[in-house]
Amino acid sequence: MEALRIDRVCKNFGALRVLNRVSFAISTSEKRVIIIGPNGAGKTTLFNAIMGELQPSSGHIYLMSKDITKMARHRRPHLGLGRTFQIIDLLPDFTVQENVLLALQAHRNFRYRMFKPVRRYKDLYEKTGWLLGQVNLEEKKDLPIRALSNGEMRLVELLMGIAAEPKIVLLDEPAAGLTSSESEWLADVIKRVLKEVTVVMIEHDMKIAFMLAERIIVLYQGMVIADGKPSDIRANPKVREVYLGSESTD
Amino acid sequence: MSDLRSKILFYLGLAVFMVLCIPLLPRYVLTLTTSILIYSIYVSSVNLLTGYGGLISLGQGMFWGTSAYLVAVLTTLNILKNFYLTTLLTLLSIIVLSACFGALAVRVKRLYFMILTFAFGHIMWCIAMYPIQSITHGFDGIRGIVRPDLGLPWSLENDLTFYYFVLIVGGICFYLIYRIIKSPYGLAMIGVRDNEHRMLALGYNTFLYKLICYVLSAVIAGIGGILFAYFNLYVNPSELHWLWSGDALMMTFIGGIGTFWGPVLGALVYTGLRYWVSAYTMYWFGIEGIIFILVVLFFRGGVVGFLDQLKRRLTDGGAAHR
Amino acid sequence: MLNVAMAISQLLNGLAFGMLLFLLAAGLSLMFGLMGIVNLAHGSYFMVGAFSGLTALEATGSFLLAILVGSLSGTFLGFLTERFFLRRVYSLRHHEPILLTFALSLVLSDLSLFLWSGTPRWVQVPEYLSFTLNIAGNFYPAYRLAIILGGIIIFVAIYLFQEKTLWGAIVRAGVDDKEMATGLGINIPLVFTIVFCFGAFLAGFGGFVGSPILGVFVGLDIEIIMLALAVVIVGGIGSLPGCLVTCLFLGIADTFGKVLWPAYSSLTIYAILVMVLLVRPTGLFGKGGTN
Repeated sequence: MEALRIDRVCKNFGALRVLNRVSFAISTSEKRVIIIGPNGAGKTTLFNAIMGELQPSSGHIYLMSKDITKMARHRRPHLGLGRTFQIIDLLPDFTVQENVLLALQAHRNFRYRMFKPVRRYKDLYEKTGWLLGQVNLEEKKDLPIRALSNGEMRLVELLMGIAAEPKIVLLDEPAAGLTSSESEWLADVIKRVLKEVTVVMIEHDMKIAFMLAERIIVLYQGMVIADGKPSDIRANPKVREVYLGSESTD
Repeated sequence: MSDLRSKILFYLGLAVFMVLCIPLLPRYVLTLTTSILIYSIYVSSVNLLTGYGGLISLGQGMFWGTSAYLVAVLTTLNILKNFYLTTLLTLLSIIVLSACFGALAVRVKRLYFMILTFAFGHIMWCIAMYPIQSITHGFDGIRGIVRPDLGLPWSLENDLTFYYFVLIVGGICFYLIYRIIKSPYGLAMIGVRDNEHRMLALGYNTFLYKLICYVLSAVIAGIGGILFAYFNLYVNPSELHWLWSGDALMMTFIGGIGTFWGPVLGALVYTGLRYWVSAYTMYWFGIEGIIFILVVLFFRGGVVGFLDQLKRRLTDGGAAHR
Repeated sequence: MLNVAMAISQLLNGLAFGMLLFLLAAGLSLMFGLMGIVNLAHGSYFMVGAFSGLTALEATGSFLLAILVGSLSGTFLGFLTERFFLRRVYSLRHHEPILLTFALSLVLSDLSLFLWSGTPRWVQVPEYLSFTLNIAGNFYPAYRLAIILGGIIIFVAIYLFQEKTLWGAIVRAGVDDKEMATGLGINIPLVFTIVFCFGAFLAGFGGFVGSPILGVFVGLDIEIIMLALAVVIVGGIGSLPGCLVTCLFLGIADTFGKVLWPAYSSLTIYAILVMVLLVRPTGLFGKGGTN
């Protein structure tokens, strides 16, 4: 079954064409799709379009075979779409636990109820505890986000995107700013927790990208210039040309 | 355990003070306390909208004033004398009004929201000022409201009984607000205040959350307005003037925005200061402005924040507050 | 109803009023675009400019000197506001600056009441401008035409400055990306202060220059700031020509409103505001989306 299909999506900001007829399809059986490309290639813009933060200038986006191109932003996660942000976007004054609670609560039909206190919804707290346990943050659950290290915040950021068990999750540079060992830990978490989820990830770190990927899509100046297995991408002359001199492949 | 115990003792002491002690003091203290309680209901509506909802409105007075006027018109023109029906009709009107205005206002940037709410409030004030076939009497306002008959053995004509009535209604309002803040809706609303962008990405319909907050806050302000009409027995357009909406914001900040006790303390301090200052000078608004500037610059948490700091300095440590 | 001569006369009145609004709205728009600050005390600069100019006029009899005094008092107040109050709260959450300036406007309002009392005053148009011109069957006051002309000149001056000079580029850079601008060595706090003072200068100037038309009274500050803010919102933030067009359009609308439905005339601009925001939440010429 088709999880995500991008159909000739274009996005212009005035005269600047940031996305140029981007097309690809990802089925639910695919688990690790990594999007790479130099800065300015349009990767985050693509994610923004999929999430609904901006409207494509033309083209269509299909989620679970449904055309979501014009769907309201807040309805898309309910179709099974999750996202994490490149720049950590949490609620800094809330505790770690409260952040994850909010991520979970979004999909519960009691999220508009006004009379029973949140703390009485035991199963919500259990699920939160389980999720925090997966990333070893359970002892820190009552700390405000501000008190965490960058690496820990990245883990919470990850949890926010996956807490509601999406069928497909967009990870935007989840390892940005992490040390080498922290990113290995993160990759491990992704492998473990997201085994059955279709992960579409933007990555700059080539090591992680080639380590995790089943399929790699290469974006350059808003266009897909390569799309296939990691070994094919590595050998692709267009890709080498784009990256030679600006970043090192291995 | 001692934390719970001290809480219970505090509320017990407060209840005793409010129920037994106040009535024993001179009568003007009773009526003053009644008015402070009514104002604090108004302020708590602004606190809900601005403190917990993050929406700064310069037009909350619109709901206070409109409901006061509705009560005045309905009762003095003998259209509806039954207290319950009048209250029901008034609150229903407030819900409709706030839903309509809110649906437009919460869609826009926070700055625009502020100006829009000012505009709405100003529109209502203009309508009240212009005598509509002598219903609203324009600048003179409407006199001759009488205390309502609740159908109970105690008459509200008596200041003391009315005080208890306001105390009960106020208590219910504050308790309801407390429940709302602690509920799933409340948590999400505060989330929308702090990071709407993320909440949208999580799947929350932030527009609906803000709209609900706006309507809830309008209803609470409306309850305050109803009580005010029955208390004051006279309403005039100043209840709809934007200065009154501004005053509500001031009271909220002076008390401590986004806190539970802020509204009551803010109303208390404001009313006390206003009475005291007005005895010496007519330049109350200027003084109010100065006080407010001082609060914003130096006492950001308001009275509650100040007391919190004091408590923290007297006892070591203290948990982080939202 | 309205005949053609009257209509033209009201049209010119509307343009003059629109120009006065523009003097305020331009400053507000710039302040908001550059600093994200809504300055509710801006109307107070307008009013105090009018009052102090009036005092200067009564003391010296020189209209030009009075204009200078009015503009400078506005500038001075703006400087005080920015330097001593707003600087402390730039880094805080969104609402502190707005409320601070609101409180300031209350203080300035009562201060004006104390210094100049509550009776509304009128400023006499100077001798050399008190003639009338025959326009389309009306004898139209030259002073108002001077305001319209002056407004156009000021607009062109600001526009050229913004687009063509280095200083203008610096301001625009600051609006677009403060951090980058600071990284390039631009003294952002100084730029803020200068822009703020310039906006306040325009306000004080407009207050006194507009006083023969609008009068001088306590309460002018709030009336005019709310109108100016409504205009800024309708026009959207980010375009100076858009701001001017919106000011003129709303000035004309307001003037005709006063003629056609005097009881509700103060609502005309707000009614337009509501209608525009219903259709386009970012304003007519605005850039950027909601929240």
